[in-house]
Amino acid sequence: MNKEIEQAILKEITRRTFFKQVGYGIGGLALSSILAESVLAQAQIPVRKDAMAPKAPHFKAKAKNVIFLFMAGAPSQVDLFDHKPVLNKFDGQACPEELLKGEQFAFIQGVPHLLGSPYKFEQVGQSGQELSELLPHLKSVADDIAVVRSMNTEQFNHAPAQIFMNTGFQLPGRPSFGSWSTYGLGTENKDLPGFVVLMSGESNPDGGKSCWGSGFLPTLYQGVEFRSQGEPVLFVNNPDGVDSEIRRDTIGAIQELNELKYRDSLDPEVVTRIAQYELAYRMQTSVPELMDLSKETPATHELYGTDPGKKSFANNCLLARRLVERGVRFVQLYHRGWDTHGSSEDNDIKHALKRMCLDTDQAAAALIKDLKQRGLLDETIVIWGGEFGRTPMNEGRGGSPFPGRDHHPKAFSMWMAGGGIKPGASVGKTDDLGYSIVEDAVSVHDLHATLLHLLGMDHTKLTYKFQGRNFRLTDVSGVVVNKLLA
Amino acid sequence: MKRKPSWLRPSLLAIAALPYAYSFATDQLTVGRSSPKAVSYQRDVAPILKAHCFSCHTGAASDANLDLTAFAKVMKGGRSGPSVLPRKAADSLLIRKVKGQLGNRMPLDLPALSAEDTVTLEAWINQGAQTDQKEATVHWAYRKPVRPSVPSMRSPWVRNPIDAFVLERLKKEGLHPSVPASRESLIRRVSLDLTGLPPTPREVGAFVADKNPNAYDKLVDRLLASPQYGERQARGWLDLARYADSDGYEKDLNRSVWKYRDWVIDAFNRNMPYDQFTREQLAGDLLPHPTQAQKIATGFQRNTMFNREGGVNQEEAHFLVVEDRAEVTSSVWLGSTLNCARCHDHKYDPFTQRDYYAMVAFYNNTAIYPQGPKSIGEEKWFESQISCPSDRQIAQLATLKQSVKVTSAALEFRVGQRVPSWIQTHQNVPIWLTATPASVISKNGQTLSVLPDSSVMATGTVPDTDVVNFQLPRVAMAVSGLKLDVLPDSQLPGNGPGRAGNGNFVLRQLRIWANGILVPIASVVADFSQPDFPAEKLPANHADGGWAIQAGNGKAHFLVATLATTIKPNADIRIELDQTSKWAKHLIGRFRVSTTASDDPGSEFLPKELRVALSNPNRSEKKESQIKDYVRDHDPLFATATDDLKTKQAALSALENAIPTALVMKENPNSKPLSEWVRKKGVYQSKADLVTAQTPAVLGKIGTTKANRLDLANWLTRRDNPLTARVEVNRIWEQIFGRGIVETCEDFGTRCTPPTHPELLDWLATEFMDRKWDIKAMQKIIVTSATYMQASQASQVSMERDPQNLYLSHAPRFRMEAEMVRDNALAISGLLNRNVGGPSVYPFQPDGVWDTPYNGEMWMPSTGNDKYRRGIYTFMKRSSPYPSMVSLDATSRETCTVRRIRTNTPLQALALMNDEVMTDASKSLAKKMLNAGPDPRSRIATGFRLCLGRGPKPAELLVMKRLAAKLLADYVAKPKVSKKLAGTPTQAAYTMVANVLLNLDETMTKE
Repeated sequence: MNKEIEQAILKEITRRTFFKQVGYGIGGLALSSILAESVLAQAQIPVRKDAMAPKAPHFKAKAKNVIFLFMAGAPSQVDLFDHKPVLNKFDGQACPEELLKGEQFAFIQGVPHLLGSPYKFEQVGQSGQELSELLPHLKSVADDIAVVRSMNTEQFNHAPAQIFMNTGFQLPGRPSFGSWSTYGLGTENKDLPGFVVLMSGESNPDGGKSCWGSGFLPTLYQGVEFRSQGEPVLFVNNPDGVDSEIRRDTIGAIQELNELKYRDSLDPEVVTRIAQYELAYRMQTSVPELMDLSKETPATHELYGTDPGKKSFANNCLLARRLVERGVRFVQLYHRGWDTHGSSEDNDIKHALKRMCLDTDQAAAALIKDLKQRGLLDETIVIWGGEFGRTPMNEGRGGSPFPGRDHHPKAFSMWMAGGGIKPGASVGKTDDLGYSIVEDAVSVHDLHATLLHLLGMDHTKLTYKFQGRNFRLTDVSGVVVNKLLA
Repeated sequence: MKRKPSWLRPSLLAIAALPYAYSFATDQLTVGRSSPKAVSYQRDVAPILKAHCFSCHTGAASDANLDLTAFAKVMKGGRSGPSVLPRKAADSLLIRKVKGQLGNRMPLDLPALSAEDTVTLEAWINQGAQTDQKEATVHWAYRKPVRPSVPSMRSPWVRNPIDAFVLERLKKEGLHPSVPASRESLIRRVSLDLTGLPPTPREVGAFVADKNPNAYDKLVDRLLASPQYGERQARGWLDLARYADSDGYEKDLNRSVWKYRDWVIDAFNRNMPYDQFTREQLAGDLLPHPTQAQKIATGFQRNTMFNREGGVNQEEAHFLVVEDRAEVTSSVWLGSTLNCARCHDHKYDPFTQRDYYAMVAFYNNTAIYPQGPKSIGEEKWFESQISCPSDRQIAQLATLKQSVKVTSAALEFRVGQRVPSWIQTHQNVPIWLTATPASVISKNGQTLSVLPDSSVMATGTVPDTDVVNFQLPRVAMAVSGLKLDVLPDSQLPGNGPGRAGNGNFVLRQLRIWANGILVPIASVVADFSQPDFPAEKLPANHADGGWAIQAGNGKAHFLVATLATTIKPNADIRIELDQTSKWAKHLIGRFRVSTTASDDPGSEFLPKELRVALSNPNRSEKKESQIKDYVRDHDPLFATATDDLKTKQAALSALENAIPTALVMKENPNSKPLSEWVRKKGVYQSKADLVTAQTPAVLGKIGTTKANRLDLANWLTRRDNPLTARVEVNRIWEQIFGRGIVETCEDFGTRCTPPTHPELLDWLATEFMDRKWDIKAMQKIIVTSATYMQASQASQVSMERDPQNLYLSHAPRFRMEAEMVRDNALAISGLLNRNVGGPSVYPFQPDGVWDTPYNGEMWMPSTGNDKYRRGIYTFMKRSSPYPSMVSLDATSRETCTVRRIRTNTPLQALALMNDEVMTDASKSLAKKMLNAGPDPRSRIATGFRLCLGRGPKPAELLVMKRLAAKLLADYVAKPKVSKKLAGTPTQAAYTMVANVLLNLDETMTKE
């Protein structure tokens, strides 16, 4: 190449060396804003708005963030939250026939026997919240949480019920609660995804990725799984032999060539891509920083009972706090293993349920305490619960001697705290056996409507048009549960 | 043969390439448009009202009681009276409101109508505020397309009628088409559009150099004929078909349905007409004498998810399957949201809830095979499956079957010959003479005593090994075989019969001496042997072997040894029981010896039933054949032949297992019309009226009361079906231009995005049907249009006036779909394996992505170049779709996806930089660059040509040269790091240069 031409070109692209000086290392300035000043200003084209940028809610929100502790497999409400002395009294007796008429169970056959809870309940705190001895840590925050004992769902198999609880519809393919939230509100942190999913327990939930999928919403809004083993986010690590300096140089070149492309094509999509490569580079730093629990104080580790480096619910609870602290909109934890049918010691309510509570109770309570002491609880809703409840009857599949309970969609319990939830509240009642709801039934749609309300959104107005119809999380129903509101 | 439309006749095409000599056939030009144009309510007025007024003036809850969604309602007006006074625009409320002459200007708080729109409204009112009756009641998409006249556009730019429609619209918008795309850009664009793969630098060079006016035509024809064409076209169709390799739902077990995927690829490659394509997929099984391929085609509707979770109500699960089929039919062929009518009549479109269930009824008659116990909630309703041998497998099958047949017949013949003599020797049961020993001596000091039943009992010392010599008394009887009984005894450990702790023993060898000479043993059989210690192997004297009876301890057993030569009477016979095995103390505790002179001592073991048969000379044929079976299976004469037969049979069954299966539709025999219950509010238990299979009235009834799926398929592709052709050409258009003429490909109903070029849409739809549903022909028309062949650079004017490029003043540019991004990188780097079809493959995927709760299924990465197949062949697991493709908007295929939404996210950037397959591609591309010689400039230029089909511009070259130098310096300074990536510092540096090229916006963009 002729020297003169080379000089001319160099002059032309010197301006772009800002990538080296400003875009990286110093890390303060977002690339798109630089572009807006230079190229875009020159071309007088508005920069396409970042789809994940924070958006104003429909009305003033009580809460900014959500942490949903999803107890996959369905915890037993009559052993944890819904104290039933009458059930204990009739323990071992045949189930009254009127309860069975026209009922369909997943596994129970014939006339089952009632099964009282082997666990003691106690009224605790100012609120007198009644909780099981299996949840000693939760008792210590009883006045911070609201317990709903009148949840009900339409599905009684795990996968459809989990998908229903997360998307408001039993079949895969609808956007999840978290996706609707980021679609409606965007997210505060530019270096992390707006909707993060963390996994612990036996394995992933039955409902699979549909539980945090974006359905027909753009995939941008789907939950991103942060993994405890391997790369924390898929593909966030550079390949072997590529260090961060080399990656920075290569991204710099990608950006420069893309900018040339933009000047040539005037396609705003190129600008978006430049911004996304910039964000990807920042994520390569921010994600490992986020996942590194070593900087937390010993007191914090003790509070949660964390076990760094392991796949544990406690670690994930601490990560959840770190995520909302950094402005991530929606965090969802899945912990699987609550399916206590009682077909063996591994899944009965004597051993397995106790083990599950040991694995989760301390960290869940710690999360509330920790958020509270950091002033984050007011703006963060914490929800705890599974996809349905469990029968007050013993399942006794194949004459099993281990006490266990079948799936029960008609009545179950969940608790929630923070972000505009009324502390210490108790909502809903079930009958003496804990079989049916007798007061203040709360459907999954009602729950969604309430949570969206706390996030400042009218569930009937948060819609997305797909295949000719305006869809919403609550489908065609849902009523805000006022008794839950502070 | 139907005459080709004259404008595409070869002679005209040749002319078409000459810039100023192009003209249309006169029959299309003579019909000019009358001007000034009459304003149409439907075409011109309704879209304005929809865009500006519907948000407040829709339905029963309309503001001011004014509903503007239908002609009659517009004319009726609202609370303030009629909104329109025909021929009196100035006095009409509608006009006064939008002009702000009365009260609040409408639309309230929103930008005012443009002057042009206001003029249109005024003109319409002044022309009488009319609408033709049909127009008023029937949405445009429900009226059959009428071929519009092609606008008379005397511009040299116009190459074919598409351009005339496009140019007319551009003029109306005050826009101009762009310059033609460069030839480099054009060949890359058309190659990606038609085959999904980029052109090689050689192909680019050849096309650029080809000055023949037919060069582009030839290129298009070559691409349309390439096997990769079908793969590219099938990708989109498989989204519609919700094709996946697993069941979905909780269990999400794998299924075998890839033959359907291959059928789709093949159908596109053979350019199967769309009506036939429709018929075979919806009703291939109902065609007369359906072929295997036609049955496989019906897999289209078997791609529904299938719930195998425990406790699922199968009736309900099946109902969901059937509903899905009706909804998918409606989405794919009718572009209609019939699903909205599941719970109630459609809110916007003229589909009733009865229409919905009448469509469901077409699918309500498939054969169902319940499996599994219902009592524990594990019953599942399976539908049909067929086996699909390839031609080669059919031939192999025939050969193997023939070979099995011949071998078996020959064997049977020989056995038949043998049976009479065998019966002769076996009809008498051997008579056993119990031998009381003349002497019995233990070599290693066991105390042996003879009991009253002539058995010998060992007591006293238990040596590790022993040899017991048993001297028979001389008798006047020949010996052809002997029997050794081993007997339990309460004195023995574990009740015997051995002396080992568990009652076992090992008889390592059995030797028989007659008059001092070793008599060979022909065969040994026992009533029971421990596995790995079979009595049958005794004559072979295996060092580690012998006869043992573990698991049969505590009970009596026996063996029979047949001698190779019969010992004459009165011989001196000694039997040696060699128990010198390596298993210490495994000695026989109590035993007894008997001899026989029978012809076949082994017949001691004949089953009781057989022995009865043998003893009866007047046996039935059935008994005779039992004897024959026994001879075949047990006579050592036939051991080789039966082994041979078994080998062949095993090969046959291996082949049969290797034959792929496919899921297909199969109808129950039925005499009544197909029917389905209307379900109140869509709840499956709430049955209301029973409706019979029928198509929605608004689209034209099917015309038969006993319609089946075949009738449905024929109805869909009838000339007067208003939707099928429009919907399909719109999809073809969308695949190429990135946006349909109707943007909402999935919804042509009243709430659709109005077509940007309604007449072009109808022209294409009628052309498609005139050309007998020829897909390749339609694609050729599109890609040879001047509209398609424009450059993709937007001008400042078009960015300002039409930022979304709705009117196509330049060619579109958009990011490739997920599969194409992968295929493109593999093709550029030379890694792509171009094999077509076959079972799905498992390319690299990070660990831990595939988490299947219910079984141990693992993602076992494919090896060899199966790692580098096209994306369409990647195993598609619904609950865990391939992560890098999901990040690029591929769907999970759980439901039918008519239109993928394109996103642009940081996760895509991470996947494209760091996914292992991208690293492999970078390495391979780096090699190609390094092969270009030592000069960085030619290396970089090679990379550009491979990735972009063009050389670098000076500024680009400079950036890349600087990068290469910097990376090289870095890697030279860090040799260890370089080794981890790709060997030498130069290889590592260029791997990353290649990684940059593969990550360029232009590389992943079709433009």
